[in-house]
Amino acid sequence: MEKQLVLSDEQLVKDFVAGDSGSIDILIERHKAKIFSYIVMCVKQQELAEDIFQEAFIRVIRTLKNGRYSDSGKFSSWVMRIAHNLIIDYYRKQKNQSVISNDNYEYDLFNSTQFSDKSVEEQMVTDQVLSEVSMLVNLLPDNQREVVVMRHYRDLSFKEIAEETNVSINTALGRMRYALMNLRRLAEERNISLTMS
Amino acid sequence: MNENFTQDYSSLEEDASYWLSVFDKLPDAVFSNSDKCPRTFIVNKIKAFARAYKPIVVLGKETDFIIN
Repeated sequence: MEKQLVLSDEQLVKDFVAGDSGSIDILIERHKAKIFSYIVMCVKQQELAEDIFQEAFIRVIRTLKNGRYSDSGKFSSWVMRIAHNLIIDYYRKQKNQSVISNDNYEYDLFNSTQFSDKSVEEQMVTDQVLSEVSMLVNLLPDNQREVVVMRHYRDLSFKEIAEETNVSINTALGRMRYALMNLRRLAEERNISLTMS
Repeated sequence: MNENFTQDYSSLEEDASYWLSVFDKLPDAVFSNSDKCPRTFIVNKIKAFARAYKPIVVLGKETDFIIN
């Protein structure tokens, strides 16, 4: 503790380079709050800040041990400058990763039928199927047709359907179940295919 | 085709530079009682690395050597 209070940063750096591992402990403890506060202020995420803090000190240790450190100012300023460079590296990496480009692909990723408009033929099939479904719905008993229309044409929830038709939610669900069973049966009886590509 | 996200990284870099200049001017003593610190195990890992790390030179090139 006494050593921690007495020795300057410069002396602790020299001692660490000379082989006194305890000196770096004192430097870390002395400056961790300031350096970490700066990193958190920039990246605003605890775990990311810890990663950058750790990487910054690993670079500090490597630089010191390799004898590449030249004492040209405050120790904390030097470490913060290293942390700053790591933060900028992180931002630039994020920036590069957030751009989607087709340049590196042989094929156009967006040239897919999934993203294309329907062809005239596909649109005709869709219209035909919707028309046949509408016709089949009209053949349902009134209370079942009512639930199908409210659910699929008016987009109401079963709770809303139950309230509007003065029945319980279970009854509304039951009517929908029977409506779907009847629609399947009616379609089979009339040899109607309801498949859309 | 490029899709650019709206995060403005240039302004983040400017902010980082601004905060660096601010923190640089603050005396170290301001943070002596701060509880804004990395978790203990992170600090301990760095201290352990400092003890284990030994730089060596292999064929004229600096190489890291970490002793567990």
